[in-house]
Amino acid sequence: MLEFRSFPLWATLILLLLAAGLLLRRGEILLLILPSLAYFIAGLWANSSIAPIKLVAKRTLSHRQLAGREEAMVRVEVRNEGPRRLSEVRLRDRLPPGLTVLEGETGLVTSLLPGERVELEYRVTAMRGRFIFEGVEAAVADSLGLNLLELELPCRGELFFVPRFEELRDITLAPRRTRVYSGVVKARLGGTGVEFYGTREYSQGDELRRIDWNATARLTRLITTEFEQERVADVSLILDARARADVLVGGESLFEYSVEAAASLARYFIKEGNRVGLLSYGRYLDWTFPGYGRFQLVRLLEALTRVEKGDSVAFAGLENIPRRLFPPGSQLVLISRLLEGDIEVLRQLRAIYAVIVLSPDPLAFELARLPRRDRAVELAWRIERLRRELMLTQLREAGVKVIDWPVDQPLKVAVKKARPQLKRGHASWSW
Amino acid sequence: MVMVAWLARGALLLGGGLLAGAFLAAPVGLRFGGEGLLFLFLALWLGSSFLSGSWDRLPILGLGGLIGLAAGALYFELSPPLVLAAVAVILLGWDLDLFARRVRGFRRIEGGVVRRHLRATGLVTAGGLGLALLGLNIRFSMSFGLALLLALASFASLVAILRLARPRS
Repeated sequence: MLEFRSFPLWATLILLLLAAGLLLRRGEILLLILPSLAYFIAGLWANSSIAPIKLVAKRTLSHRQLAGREEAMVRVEVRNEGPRRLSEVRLRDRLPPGLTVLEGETGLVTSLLPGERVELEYRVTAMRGRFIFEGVEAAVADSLGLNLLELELPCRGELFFVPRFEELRDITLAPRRTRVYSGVVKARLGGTGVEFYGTREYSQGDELRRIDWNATARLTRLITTEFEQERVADVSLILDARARADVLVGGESLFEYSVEAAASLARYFIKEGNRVGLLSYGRYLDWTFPGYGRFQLVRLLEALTRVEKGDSVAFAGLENIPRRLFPPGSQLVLISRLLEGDIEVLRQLRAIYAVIVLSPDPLAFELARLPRRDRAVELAWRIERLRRELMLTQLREAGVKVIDWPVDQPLKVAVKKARPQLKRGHASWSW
Repeated sequence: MVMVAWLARGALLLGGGLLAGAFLAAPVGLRFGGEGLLFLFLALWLGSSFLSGSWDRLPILGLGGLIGLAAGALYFELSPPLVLAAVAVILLGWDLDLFARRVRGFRRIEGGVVRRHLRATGLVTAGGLGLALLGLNIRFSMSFGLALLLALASFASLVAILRLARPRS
């Protein structure tokens, strides 16, 4: 049933005019009631002539899950299943916060005949996140708009934007310890493999084809060739989610690029057969337990989809990274823009783990988004550039492998540039 | 819905102009400073039509104020046909202004909603104005007691209607 919302207004107006006219004994004032009375009667008539309203909404989404910045089409069909014409129907699809409408309309005003349907159609996108559509807000009014009924038409839907990832290749890992299963990470152990590792004296059971006949002839005893074993590794991704490490320019956040890089790396390392875990280090610690395979990738992507940056006194610096989570000698990959105090912590970590730092470049990110560049900006940029270069050099000298990533370039380009450094020999370390 | 918003503003200006005309045509001795108040109410109302949010309550204040001024004008017997026409046009402006505010933010307006609203509101306004102008020619007298009784009866019936029309789920 519609509600005659302006009823009190009209009633009060008419009553006041009536009282004024009668008390002042002025018939002309009583005549003022008539135009208002016409509205009042029209409102009452519209209120009584409306039959039960039945609107039904149905939502269709082009995707359920898609990568960040991809586009999804949302269609909402609203049908009048009531027996009467609805003169004024205002529909507005309630959009979950964080979604951006690229094209189309999320609301409309129309009239609907019995059985008639109308469609809202629009394209949305988001960086990442889980977005739940609850329903459509509808307001039905008579043709004068005096009577109104507001209702919500339930039509749930869910869009899941996982962080966008890139296809990466050839990231050489050099952990000091590997796991027992075969993979692609050089284990620094002789055995079956592809690459030559060394020779040793023949022992019973060695395959004949592995005997090094030249060395055997030279040394006059049987020598067997050994190849370097290739195994899977424990890879722990550490995502720097400290808000103070983020750079925000014009609504864009450097942190989102870090998340995308983490997704690309997670996908790559899982594809290579490694055991991958993820630690989000920011307001709190969010640890995704390490695992293998496609299900683990889904878990990692889900964790990255919901990750949020934040600040905490305890996690202001990297010194509280819980080392007990990572197996000693395993591979750590830190995704961070890097702050001044982080270098010393990374040096310490380097003593126990093999460490790769993927650092989205905050300077290039900010500079590319500045509205104008004058001499002062150029000078500041050069000073900051030097400080950053110094920081990265200190890290490299400490044996940390660094991928410096200007985020406006594809990540694979930065990885390709860093490849010689990544492939460089393993640091000596006694276990 | 820009067109309706400008129609509303036009109607308000026209209604205000008619009322101002009635004030200005009055003999000097019968002026009660209504022009200034009229200007104030109209300025507030028209100004709020360009804004949104809590300003949406100003039309009610504007409508009440202008009808009050119209009642004042009729009390001083300032050209009743002009004042009645002004009130009808102001009511039309109020209705269109509310409609424009309701559909503000919607870029898709279809299904003949605007046309149907304009027709309905035009009919109601014309009907109300016609009745009021017709009423100008009707003359009858009644005692104060009867008038008071009628006022009380009207009040009671309004209260009854108010109860009947209470929002139902």
